[in-house]
Amino acid sequence: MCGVCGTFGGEDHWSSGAGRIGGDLAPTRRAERAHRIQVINGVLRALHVRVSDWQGRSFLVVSPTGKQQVVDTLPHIWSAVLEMTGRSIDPLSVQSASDDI
Amino acid sequence: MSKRIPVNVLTGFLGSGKTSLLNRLLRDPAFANCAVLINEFGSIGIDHHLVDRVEGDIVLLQSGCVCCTIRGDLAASMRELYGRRETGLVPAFERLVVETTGLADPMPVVSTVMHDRVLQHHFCSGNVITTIDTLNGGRNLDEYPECLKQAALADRLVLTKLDLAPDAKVQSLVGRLQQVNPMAALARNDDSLDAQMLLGEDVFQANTKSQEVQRWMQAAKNKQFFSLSRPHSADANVHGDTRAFAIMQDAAIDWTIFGVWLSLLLHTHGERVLRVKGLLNVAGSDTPVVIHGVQQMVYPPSHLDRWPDADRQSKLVFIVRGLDPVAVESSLRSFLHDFS
Repeated sequence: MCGVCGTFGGEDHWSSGAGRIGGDLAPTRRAERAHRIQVINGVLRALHVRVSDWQGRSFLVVSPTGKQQVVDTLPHIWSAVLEMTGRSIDPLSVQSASDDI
Repeated sequence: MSKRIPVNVLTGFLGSGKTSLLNRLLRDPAFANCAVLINEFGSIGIDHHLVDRVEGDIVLLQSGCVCCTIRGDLAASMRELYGRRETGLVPAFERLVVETTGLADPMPVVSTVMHDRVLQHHFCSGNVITTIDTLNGGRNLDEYPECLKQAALADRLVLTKLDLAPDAKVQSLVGRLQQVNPMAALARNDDSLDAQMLLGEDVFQANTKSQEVQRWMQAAKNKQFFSLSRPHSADANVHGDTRAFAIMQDAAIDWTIFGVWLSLLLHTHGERVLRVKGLLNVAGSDTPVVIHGVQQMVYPPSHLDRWPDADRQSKLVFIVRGLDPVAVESSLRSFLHDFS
């Protein structure tokens, strides 16, 4: 358990944590997680999918029609979005996605 | 937990001299204490019969090609080997070399070491070593995508059969390999071979990580990568639809945005991103972050103790197949701009 956050475990994914080591200005785990969710929601806005924190260690993915999935890591989010909506975000055409924001 | 055992993947196209190289490496006293896993292709384990003077145990995998069938078998063989090591049935080997077949994609082997829930506690990744036959290597790179991928995924490229090929042919091949994989260190399977450089120096060991990253960065500085940041640079790193390119970024990078972007890129186009390596200046962090990935798989990022020099520019080098470098760089910059 994280003594600061009071949450069990952590994301078992390479993208979690590396930005929190090595500097006084590095964000806390909770702050990094909140920022990650904000970024993910920005990316997924064009598909009207929302992602929120679930218990400090997973993500709740909600489709435009109200379907929900709890997933653990970023790749699981991308898979869940495709499964629930039949659509995906191509980062190489992100301009079109961000234009909608 | 005891120290994890590094695993090197030894790959190379059919007849490219993997076993000869293995024999030479295992004759080096520093690496005599290696175990070797050999994948037998078909009913006759030719490679197995050619291996001689191997000091460690050889466990022959029985289910054909590593790439398509035996992630489970490989994991089981590694677990069994480790179990025998722990119970004293085999010597306490300090390194494991997995030799693939000539047609194998080394990626599943690398992935097995990293993702198997048991193995990841006992083994760690080491360099991927690819042998290239100087006589036929150029043609194989052109005609066989398996060969091209083996070269692109390598951390070390070893030129073999040097006594059979004229110097001009060797030089031409070296040039092409530097197009395909400019970040890999080149070695020759002759008396000049440095076994320590091949096996012992990698980005996964704390004592050699900095040295290895400096090797990448030096390559990034010296080679004429295609880069939007350097619009006048020659686009020399193209081989068919496989190309290497670099993205340079002066401003510190938001790690969270970068992580979301790279995760999405690899999820969407991972099959076409053969390698990504880089040193990042992460906002809020005093020390640089080392990024190292093979297709969809990214090794846990790590921090160097200090910057190698005064240069604080982030450098990312990609080897891609059929992806437009301009689109990749534009995508990263859009993410960093739009979501910060």
